[in-house]
Amino acid sequence: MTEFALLNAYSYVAGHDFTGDTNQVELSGEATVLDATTFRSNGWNERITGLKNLAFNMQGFWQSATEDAVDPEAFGDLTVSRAHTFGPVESEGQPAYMFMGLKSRYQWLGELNTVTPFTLNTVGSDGVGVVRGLLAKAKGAMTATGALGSVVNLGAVPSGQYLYATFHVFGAGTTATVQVQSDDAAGMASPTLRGTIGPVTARGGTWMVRVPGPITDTHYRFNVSAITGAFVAAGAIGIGR
Amino acid sequence: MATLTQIRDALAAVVLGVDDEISTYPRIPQKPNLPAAVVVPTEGNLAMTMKRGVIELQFEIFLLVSVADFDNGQRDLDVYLDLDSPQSVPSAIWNTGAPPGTILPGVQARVTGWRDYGGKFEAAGVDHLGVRLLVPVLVSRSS
Repeated sequence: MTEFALLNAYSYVAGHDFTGDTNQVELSGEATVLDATTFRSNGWNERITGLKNLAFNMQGFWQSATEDAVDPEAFGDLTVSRAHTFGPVESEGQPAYMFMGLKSRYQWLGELNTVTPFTLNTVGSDGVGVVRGLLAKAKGAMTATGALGSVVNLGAVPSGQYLYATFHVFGAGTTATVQVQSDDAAGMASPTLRGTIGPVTARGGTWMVRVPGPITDTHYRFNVSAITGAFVAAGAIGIGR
Repeated sequence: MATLTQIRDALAAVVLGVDDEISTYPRIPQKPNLPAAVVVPTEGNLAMTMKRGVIELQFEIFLLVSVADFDNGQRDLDVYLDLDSPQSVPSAIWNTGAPPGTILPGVQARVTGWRDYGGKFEAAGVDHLGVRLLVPVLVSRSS
């Protein structure tokens, strides 16, 4: 991937897609730096890291509705932990950053004669932090059983690490069950079931129960095992600690 | 989501509502009947949010009156511009929908000012007096 203009960085938060609401998004991770310098440090500072923190900030244009809009999603969900999937390019196979986060600060409205703004700050809310994976299903229709989205090559899951997945339903039909499958090649000739999401019956986000390694398979995908009604969904799969 | 054509039609319809003597043109006419209001898109900002969720289009509404009677022509323009007159074009747009200026679902127009009052405008060979209303239109493409 070469340099590119940031035009469709996507932000899926539970059952709302903030992509079209936002014009600035940023994810940052940092660790507390602790000074471990002693008289034996040969004149250099020695440092170790302490606790890590992730922060996710969105800015954009405020709007409201009964549901599925900036204000009901932000105001009603303040301090509630939700599944997040975020990335710079909303195309399957592109990087996706997955985390559980809670909205810690919400600021809205502003100056006269400007497009009504909002700012929403989110912090990590569990011990996993952020997982870097790939977008396996970009936001789109989910209406039938079978493979969903694209197969992504994440490599094997080492011992001591886990397979993670996020799944977002933006529009819900009646019910759907989605699996995460793996195989040793892109053709997915003999897929192995690794995890299940659902049954999902409403708009919202799912942080799949993580699957411990080792897993020697290298390729992963979503698969719809049962569905009634038409859904709009997206999801990402990744490997992390 | 509203199309550019629908937005121009909607703006023209609002202006038509202020005065049944004014001829409104959502597109540039070959030969306008005066007094006239012509809706002209001038600029578009398509990169306001990720995935073009919100865009802003700049319009001008040309208000044109006859030069046959300079004094009365200017009186007509003043009435169209005056925020408190029944024929106020800025107020007609402001008073459409909620939030103010919602001319179509997900489409908000507002008159932020006007310029080039008077002079001798010329469109399609018809001499006229006129003024340009500046009308930014915010379009939510997810609506």
